[in-house]
Amino acid sequence: MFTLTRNGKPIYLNLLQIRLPVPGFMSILHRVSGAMLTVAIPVALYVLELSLRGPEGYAQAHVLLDGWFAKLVLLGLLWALLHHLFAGIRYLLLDIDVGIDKPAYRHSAWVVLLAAPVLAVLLLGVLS
Amino acid sequence: MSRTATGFRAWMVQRATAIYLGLFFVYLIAHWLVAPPADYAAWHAWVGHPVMSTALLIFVLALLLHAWVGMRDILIDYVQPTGLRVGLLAVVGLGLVACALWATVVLLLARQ
Repeated sequence: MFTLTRNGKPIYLNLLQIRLPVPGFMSILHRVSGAMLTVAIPVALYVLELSLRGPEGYAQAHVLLDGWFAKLVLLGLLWALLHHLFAGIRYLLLDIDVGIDKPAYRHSAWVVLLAAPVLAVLLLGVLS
Repeated sequence: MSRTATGFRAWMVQRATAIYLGLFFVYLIAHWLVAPPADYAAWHAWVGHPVMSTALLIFVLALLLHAWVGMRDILIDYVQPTGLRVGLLAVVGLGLVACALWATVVLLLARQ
């Protein structure tokens, strides 16, 4: 089941069985999305460099971003960006005590969780 | 700076960079929605404009600093074996420094 630490506190860290409250779920996705965006930095730099190399490179970058696989990756990254942005704004507001009370911080976590995927789909549709 | 203060410094760096990154991303997305680059010349001129390339350079440096603080937190929290943790921290740190140099070269070349 779970083990005890030296001073008798239980450790229960089975990630498959922990049931996180909504703000906790939003928070772990803040980390997941941040790691995704970090991995995307060198890829984005590669595309930026390619697009600035000349008219041929610019066209190549367009082709590169146009495939269905690239679209899927872009959708994932757009979600990560928006989730990270919204969750970040929420944390900055919590830092200055805005929305820190009980129903509000749960509601704002739901807003972040739902707004990010919806806006990601809309933005990918408009941008491409 | 004392050992106890380094956590506070990282906390401040994370929030200061977050504000710049957040505002800049909103600007980038809005600009892309309103006026996407028409062709290579327009794109190159936009990125290469002195104001824009400077703002972009600050953006990339803030991004890499922000990514470093965040990835450091993640690795320290979840990677328990010391050797693996130090190794991964080194890989991420060197990778981000390499990205900083790369981005600086790309953005300065775009000015010409």
